[in-house]
Amino acid sequence: MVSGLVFDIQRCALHDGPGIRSVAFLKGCPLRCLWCCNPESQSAERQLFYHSGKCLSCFGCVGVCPAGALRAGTEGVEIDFGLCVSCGKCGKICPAGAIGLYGYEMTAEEVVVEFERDAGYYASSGGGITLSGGEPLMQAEFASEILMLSKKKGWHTAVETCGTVPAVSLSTALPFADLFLLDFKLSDRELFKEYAGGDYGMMMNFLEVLAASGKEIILRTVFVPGVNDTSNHAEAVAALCRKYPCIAAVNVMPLHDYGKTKYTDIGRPVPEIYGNLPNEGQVDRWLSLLREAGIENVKKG
Amino acid sequence: MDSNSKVRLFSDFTDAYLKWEGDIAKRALECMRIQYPLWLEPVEPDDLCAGRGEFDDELGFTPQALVNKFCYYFDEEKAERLLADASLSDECRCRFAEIAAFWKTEDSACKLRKSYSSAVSSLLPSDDWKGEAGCAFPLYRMSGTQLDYDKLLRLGIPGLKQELSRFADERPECRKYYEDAAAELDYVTEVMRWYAGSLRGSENENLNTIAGILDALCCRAPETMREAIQLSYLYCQLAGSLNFGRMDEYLGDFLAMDIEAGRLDRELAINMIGRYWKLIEKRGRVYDSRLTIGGKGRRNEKNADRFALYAIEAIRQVRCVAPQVTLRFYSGQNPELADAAMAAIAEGCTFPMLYNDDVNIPSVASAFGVSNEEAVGYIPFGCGEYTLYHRSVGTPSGVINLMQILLEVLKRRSYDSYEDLWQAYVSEIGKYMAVLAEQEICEYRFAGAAAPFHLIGILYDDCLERAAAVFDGGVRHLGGTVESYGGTNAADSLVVIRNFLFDSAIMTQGEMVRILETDFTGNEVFRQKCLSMPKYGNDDDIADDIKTAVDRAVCEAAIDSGKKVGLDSYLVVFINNDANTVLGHYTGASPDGRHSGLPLANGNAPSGGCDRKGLTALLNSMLKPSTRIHAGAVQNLKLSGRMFSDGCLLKTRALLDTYFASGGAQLMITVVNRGDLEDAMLHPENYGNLIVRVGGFSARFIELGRDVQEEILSRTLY
Ligand code: SF4
Ligand code: SF4
Repeated sequence: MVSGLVFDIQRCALHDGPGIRSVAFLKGCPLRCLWCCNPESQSAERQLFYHSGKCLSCFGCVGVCPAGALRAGTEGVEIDFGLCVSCGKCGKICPAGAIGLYGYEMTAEEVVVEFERDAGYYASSGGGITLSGGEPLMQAEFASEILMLSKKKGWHTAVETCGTVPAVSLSTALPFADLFLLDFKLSDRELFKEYAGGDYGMMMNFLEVLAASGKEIILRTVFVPGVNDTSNHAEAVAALCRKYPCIAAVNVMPLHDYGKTKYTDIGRPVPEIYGNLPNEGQVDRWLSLLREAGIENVKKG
Repeated sequence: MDSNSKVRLFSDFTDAYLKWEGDIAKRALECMRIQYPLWLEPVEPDDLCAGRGEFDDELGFTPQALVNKFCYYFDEEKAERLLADASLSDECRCRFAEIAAFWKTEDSACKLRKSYSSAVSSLLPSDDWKGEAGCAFPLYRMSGTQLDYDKLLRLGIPGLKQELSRFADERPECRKYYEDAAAELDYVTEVMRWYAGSLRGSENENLNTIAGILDALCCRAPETMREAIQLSYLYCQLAGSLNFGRMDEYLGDFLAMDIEAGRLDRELAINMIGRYWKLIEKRGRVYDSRLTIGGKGRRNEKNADRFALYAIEAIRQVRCVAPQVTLRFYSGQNPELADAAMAAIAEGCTFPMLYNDDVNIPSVASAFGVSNEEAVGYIPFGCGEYTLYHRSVGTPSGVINLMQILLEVLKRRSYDSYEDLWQAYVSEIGKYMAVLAEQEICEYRFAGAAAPFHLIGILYDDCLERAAAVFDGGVRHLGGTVESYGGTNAADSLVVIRNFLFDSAIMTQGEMVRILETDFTGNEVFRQKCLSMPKYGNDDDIADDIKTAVDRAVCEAAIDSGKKVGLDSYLVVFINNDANTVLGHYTGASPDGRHSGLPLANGNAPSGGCDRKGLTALLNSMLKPSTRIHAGAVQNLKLSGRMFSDGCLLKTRALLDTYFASGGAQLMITVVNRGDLEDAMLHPENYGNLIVRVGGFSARFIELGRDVQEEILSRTLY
């Protein structure tokens, strides 16, 4: 039985591939994008969170922590995230769900059982299941097993990926995935390194292999004003679309800060980049820039 | 009417009541003839037709008054105010004091209570469910009649009279019955002439037209849609019925004829229907005023569909909170109806409400114990209780609070096991159900003995054939319903009780009771633990199984109790109006984590904010309890506007289609945005048109009480 680390399963997702979908978020990501909206996904390990707003200051957690990571403070728990050994004891005792670990182990079968609950909705809406993260292909064997079991059920399968994994990780999943949502963030090797911490060459290689398979691809391009709203980037996206006909569409994902409290919850500072969110006008301008570059099927979302 | 004239009218009413004591038909007729100038209101210049009115006076006779009263009702509070009215003459004041003294004990509800057995009296000690804590309460009303308007419009008043005289000739031994019924039809004619007289010669063209229509309807059956609306509306009012049957069936042919003859075109027809909606809305009965369109079993599907489409278009144009337009649908029905309904809902209309025939027909057949053919005539009334169209009555004359009962059971004694506690709970529900069913049949017997209600019986199957009054052996299927509240909270509480007291035994029953009695004061930690336990509405089998079991227990208790007292059916309804909020006021803190005094969950919905797993999980949960053992369970769904945006619309349709195909019986969808609601609480004056569905009725959000508003906000928005 293959198992892996999941940090969330969302049902009735309407924006992660066609139709009505269930999305499993797998933990771990090779990139460190400065704008990441799922910071809790980055670490491949279980990881402590603390929602101060929910805390009742009962300090039950403080007493059970074997690592001395928790202390009773004046406004809730004071935490030294570095000391936490991810034993999970605090989460078990917390009455309010205010503290605990992101990431729980599931077998592929268990994930599929959870997916199965909404199978009727997939069928009627042309939907299916999506693996997201994190980078689901960081847990390639686990991801492939889920995809394979899902295909056995006859569901449409999608993988949201950053493409920055070795091509071998892709190849195990490839036969069981119908659609790839490829996050294409930056087209400049240096900037990609700087803003996302990734290896551009690896991503391009991934795309090459993926495109060769002929599987449908949707490019998801995060829009970060001042970072990637350049005509060069627009041109590069357009060039990819020309080069790879299996790129069926380009979706623009404007930067948002909905995930900012998650940073605080895991003991990280809120990204500075959230100080410069795009407005409607900027998004529209970016969309038209992409269209001018020759991309036909481009939309927000 | 001025206060002195009112007193004189009440005096005549009381005299007639005493004079005809030995002849209930004559007594009812004379009282109705005396009271109509009081309760019927003058026609306003832009009204579509005549006949608006409300039973909200100090004294009157009706199957269902505005207050919790029926038959010959007397409203003491109002009477006291009238007595204190400075404009009363001394003579009138003295007379009214006499009248009030008489009616104080002669009021039907009061007399009904006196006839209760000791069991009923002791378990239903109060009827003040809006002002006291309690496990169960009686409601006094003969509500939910759905008349055969098709027959009315086909025959007209003269035709109905002919039918009665034929019956009288064939069965001379029952002549008095038929003559009494005919006399009530004459009363209808009398009212039409009275209205016509008041309007004839008016400078307003509309009022003159109405006068002409009323004159015509005295002598013949209706020939146009407007005439048909006038007759059905006025008759409905005079019969004391508050629901409008399958309107597309009975008006569809008139609409088609008007269009054929060039009297109406699409636009004019929609305009006329919209004016009708406004007229119905003016009466303000947002808990009632149900009308149904669509569905199997309409004799003229094509014409009816056209009316249904126009009716939906009229909703879009008028945006009213009544009538409660209900769309029945089945696979194979003209898809335009569902499309139009979705478009209206997407725009923020709360109507039509959606009822799935493919599920409801077999469910009703099973619950009512009738054939599928007969169940095709199921029709919701009021807040969503099913009856069989002009074949059954099922007045909801009782309220049961399942959360309150659980709290009492928990306090009563200690239990060895969960099973022990569960059995005690089920048997306590059974105890209350038994007296509620007994009170239901008492109420029917009382109504049957109080008056014949011929206007209802004439348009009900079997009454004329049997020469029996509707509540006195006339109706084919004498059913009853009981409104059940708090079931979701009870189920969620049982999850917590089972775990905390038995499975993991983290506390004693005494500790739990003490914490609840102090409303969790100083025990927020415990309350959070309660809240974190599985809750109905998340497709969680633990919670959903218990909810299903609670539903089953209460439904079966009702069914058994109904059989014992001799009702053809006695069924639970999980409807809602604002009773979940009102009852919640007097219900203590519950183990599901709910604070004392907060609303109970609404209809068949999860507790506010407890559904967190997304729409499919919510719908899956709602699909689990059986639909075949009750007479309707309201399924509210609030969707955000973005669910109907271009990108999502098809997915939303697929979502709803799947729910219905998987056994979903009904949905009442409200489209709102959280921002709208929050802003509306700050600036209600800007939101006159914001409509929100609260359970089985629809009202403007700003008109709802603060606590109801807050409850809506606390429910999850998708
Ligand atoms: S156990 Fe939970 S509620 Fe109590 S102090 Fe710790 S985080 Fe806060
Ligand atoms: S997970 Fe374990 S080590 Fe980490 S904070 Fe909680 S109790 Fe301490």
